[in-house]
Amino acid sequence: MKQIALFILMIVLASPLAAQQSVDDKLYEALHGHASFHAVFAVLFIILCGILFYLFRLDRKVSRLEKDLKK
Amino acid sequence: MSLGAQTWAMVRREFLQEQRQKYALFGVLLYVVSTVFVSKFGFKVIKDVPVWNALFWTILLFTSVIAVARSFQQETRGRLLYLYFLVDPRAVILAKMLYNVILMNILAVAGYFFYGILVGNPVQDTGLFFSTLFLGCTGLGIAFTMISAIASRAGNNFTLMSILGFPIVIPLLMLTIRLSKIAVDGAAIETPWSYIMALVMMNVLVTGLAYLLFPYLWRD
Amino acid sequence: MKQNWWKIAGSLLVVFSLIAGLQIRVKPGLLNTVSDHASTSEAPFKVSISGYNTNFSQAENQVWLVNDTLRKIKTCASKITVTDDQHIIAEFPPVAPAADPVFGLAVYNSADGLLFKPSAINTTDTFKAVIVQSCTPKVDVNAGKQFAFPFRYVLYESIRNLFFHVPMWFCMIALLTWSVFNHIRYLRTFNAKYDVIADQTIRTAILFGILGLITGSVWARVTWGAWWVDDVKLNGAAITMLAYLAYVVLRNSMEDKEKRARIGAIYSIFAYVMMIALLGILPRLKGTDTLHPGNGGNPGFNQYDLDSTMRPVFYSAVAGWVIIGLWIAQIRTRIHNLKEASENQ
Repeated sequence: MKQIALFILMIVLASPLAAQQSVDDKLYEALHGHASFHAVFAVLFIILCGILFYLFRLDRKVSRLEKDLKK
Repeated sequence: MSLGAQTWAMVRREFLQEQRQKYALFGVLLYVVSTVFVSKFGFKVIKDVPVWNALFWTILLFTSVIAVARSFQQETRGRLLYLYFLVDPRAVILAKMLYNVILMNILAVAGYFFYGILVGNPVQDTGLFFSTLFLGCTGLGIAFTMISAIASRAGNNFTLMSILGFPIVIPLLMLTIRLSKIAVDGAAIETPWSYIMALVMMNVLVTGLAYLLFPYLWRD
Repeated sequence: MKQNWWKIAGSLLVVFSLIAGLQIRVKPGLLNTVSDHASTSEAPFKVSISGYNTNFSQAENQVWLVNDTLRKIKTCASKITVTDDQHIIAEFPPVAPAADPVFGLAVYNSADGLLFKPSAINTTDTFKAVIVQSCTPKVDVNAGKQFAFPFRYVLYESIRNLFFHVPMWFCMIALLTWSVFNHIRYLRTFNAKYDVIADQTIRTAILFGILGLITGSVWARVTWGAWWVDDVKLNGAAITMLAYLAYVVLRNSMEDKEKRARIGAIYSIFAYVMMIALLGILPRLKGTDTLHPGNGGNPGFNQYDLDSTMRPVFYSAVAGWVIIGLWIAQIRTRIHNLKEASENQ
């Protein structure tokens, strides 16, 4: 449950990245080229978070399995 | 007995069963009529074509879930076992599909009749609309027969049937609603063959799949 | 090591697509064109042009207007002032619009090659049938060729998402195909091994499907302006996810292992075929709206969407992610098998 909450939090954190596009266009253009680079960062961020979240879940499964085997 | 003869016998059995418990069919008919009445009270007369169309097909969708869900749920375990020894499973599914297709077409025509009287009938191209009605209802009947068979194996749960069925019939329904809108608008310069062919193909596909997969579902 | 080579290959492909997808530049293009007169038939009007990734100050520039309907007629700028690499101001003699009051604007220099912005200048002139002055700019077609991603309006830099968002869907479809293959094998042999592979693969595919939906939604927000747009492909993808979530519900609703495998397999095959119909046939029909490449008629990529620079990166991203997906599915299967073994002890 905790991990799901964490995942949702991450998604929420990622969304302002995409939304504030117009606010600091100039700054972003200076740093990373065009503001549409936001979308690329957000997408990469989400994929990374998704895969990591999945890894966490797999990890938990394996630990439960280990516990069962020890008994 | 050949597959055809077995199927025919099974279809006759379905109709006999229906005759014995008339209230079931009337129940579904009553469902259609009361849904149409509810929409009549909600909308009065619908002038907007997309809304008219969408509401009509939504009513038919829910009708088909209710009408077809019975096809496997009403069979008792003993009767199923008896059939299991007696007939080819493919005859069972073909017969059930044929029966449900006929049932759905009757319900759809009845539904269109009441809907047209109460909510308004903006259909321009009647011929195309009836072909759409036929193709769409055939698809709904076939797809839900198979889904009902699957759901009945997984504990006869009505919710499960909707969950399983809706994603499967949405492609069919999307096509049907588009085609039906063309028929209602009556603006088609030429018959939209690509849509009709796609619908026919979809129906053949679902029938073929059910024919191939049902024997695996049948064995226990 | 010997049996793990494909995992290494997959990882390398993904890493390559990440590096190449982020490192390679986007080709130069014209961002904004602002005219100081609403009417082009008035005395000399100035157009300030801002470019993207351009090198205006490094070579001699030519700027001209092209009438959008009459492509052949061109009017060259009389004076060009270069502010910096990204900005340029061009001065035009009065021009009367022919046929329609919309002009495209072209900039050429030997470093950037030919840059063109369609419908760059809208004028208030409605006077028609006057032929505008004509000139023939000297253009070398091969100038400015560089190894870079194409510059596309609306997309700009986010064109790179093609290497990150689209492979999610390819991976999902590949995994679902693999699982259906195993489900068919299960129905032919009733060997539980195949069912476990298929089931775990579907659960992995759902992860990629969800990632595809979320990343697509974010990309759509930035480029199309809405989190969710009414689009056959998007709706199709969402419905596919619903069908496979229904599969998970169906499977979990049964206790008996053999029965659950069999019925799950039947539903999965059914859902897969309908998914192919949904994603493959529906978008091809006329009159369906899609914002995705290749509108109504031929979905998928044509030569315009995937140019030779993008293709190697895109294909390696797809191959890499499919392998990673299979890898995750394999780990899941192994964990499941271990669990089964420990329960049976």
